[in-house]
Amino acid sequence: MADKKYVMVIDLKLCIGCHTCAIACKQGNNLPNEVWWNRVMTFGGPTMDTPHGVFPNLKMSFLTLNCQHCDDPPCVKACPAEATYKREDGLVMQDYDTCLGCRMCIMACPYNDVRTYNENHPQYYLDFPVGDQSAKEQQKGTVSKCTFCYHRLDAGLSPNCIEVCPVRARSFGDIADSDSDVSKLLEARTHTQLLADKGTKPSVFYLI
Amino acid sequence: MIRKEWSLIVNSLMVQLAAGMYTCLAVYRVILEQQIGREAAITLTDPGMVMAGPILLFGMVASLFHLGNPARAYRSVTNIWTSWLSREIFFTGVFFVLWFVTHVMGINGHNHFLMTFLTVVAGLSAVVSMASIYYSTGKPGWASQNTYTDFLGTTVIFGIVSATVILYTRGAALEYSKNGLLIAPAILAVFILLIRCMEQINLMPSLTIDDNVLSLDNLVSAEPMAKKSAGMYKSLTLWGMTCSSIGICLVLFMLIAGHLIRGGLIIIVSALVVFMGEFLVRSGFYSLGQNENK
Repeated sequence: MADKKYVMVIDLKLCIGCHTCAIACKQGNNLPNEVWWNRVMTFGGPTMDTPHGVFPNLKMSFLTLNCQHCDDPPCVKACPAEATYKREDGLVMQDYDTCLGCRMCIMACPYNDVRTYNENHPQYYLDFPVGDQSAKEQQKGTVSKCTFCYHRLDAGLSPNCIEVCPVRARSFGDIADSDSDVSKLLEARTHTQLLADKGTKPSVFYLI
Repeated sequence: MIRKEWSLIVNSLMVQLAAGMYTCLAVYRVILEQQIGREAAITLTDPGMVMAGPILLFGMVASLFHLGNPARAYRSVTNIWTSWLSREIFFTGVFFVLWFVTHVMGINGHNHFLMTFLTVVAGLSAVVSMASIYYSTGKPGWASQNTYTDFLGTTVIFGIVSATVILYTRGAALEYSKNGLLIAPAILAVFILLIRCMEQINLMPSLTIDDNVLSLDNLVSAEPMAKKSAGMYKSLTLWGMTCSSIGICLVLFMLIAGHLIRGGLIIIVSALVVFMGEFLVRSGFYSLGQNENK
């Protein structure tokens, strides 16, 4: 595990904004009501599916956003209880059993709304848990975020959002392996990272 | 929105009041020792220095209400090497312990300058660490020199005003104000407030929202979210600075013209006006960090 460095690659030219990745994430990780670890945004505004531009020259562009699992994560430095930590394979994790709920990680993160604070006991629309049995249960008074589906990775599977994308806009793999899909994509295509100027070295790349 | 952060507002103000009051009275004690003797200086300054402890404790208890899991608060100093919050909690704890030890030693007649000095250093370190928490977030309005000016400025202003009230109400102010012991710090408080106002004049234009720039970074950055709170920030800061100015000027007036108007109540009310002003300024400061998930 130590030699691996997981990254996610998202092709913005392929993404059709279907929200399937967001739903798969929510369902697979059994996220409480109103909690989303993966969001699909449009350039035009905060309301769902808002085009940008001036009528009649409107354009619809999508951007999916989840925790960027930075190489130099400010949230890990800011957490006073070491509840936010980094695995050797690059995953930035949140330990619900030690989280104080101080929300320093939310304050330190340069990205908007990639974390959720569970202020109350998690509420669900259904009376029974759904999704992966191995997904960790959410706790009141703690912060949660995308884990790159570590429980699936540890079982040799891909994250939920990667599996379900109908246009295969999302790829996931080991950037340390030059033969991996992600390495080849990043070598072949022009790509960008969000808020690269912040110096946090995100592990999510966007093909443009 | 501000209701959510009441515990942080109370904590930050109480820690700064305790640190400022203790530091200021410690300085006065050293100066007064030269003028009226050690015992008299201790008698005048001790009540305020003792009060700093309960005030600090109140602030520490208030901060627990900010946590989602207060029972795990003991873990908050585990990451002292990189987390400014850990450092702040560590120094606040050290400040309290040193205050307690110094107080107990004082009761037994052992007033050591070194212990008082270490307590002052711990208190000021807690305030600097507190400011660094917000400075290190990189958020507009927080990641600026203004954060340090604001937090340290409040500490000094609280210290000067509270120490003045304590000495004034103990009948000492009129006597010592003649030699400028209390007037000079009050003028310093006015000067600090002026610097803070100038910092705000520089900072506020940078909080203007620019929604028209279309970019990936603008879409995902936490900064535009913070800038939406700029209106509330400006309003609360303006009212807060006004209250603080009125309060400090009243304190200064009472020190200068106190021999004409003997009003212990007026100086207490002035201090409360300063406190209200700083509360409003701090509420504005925390409004910049608001978003719907916090």
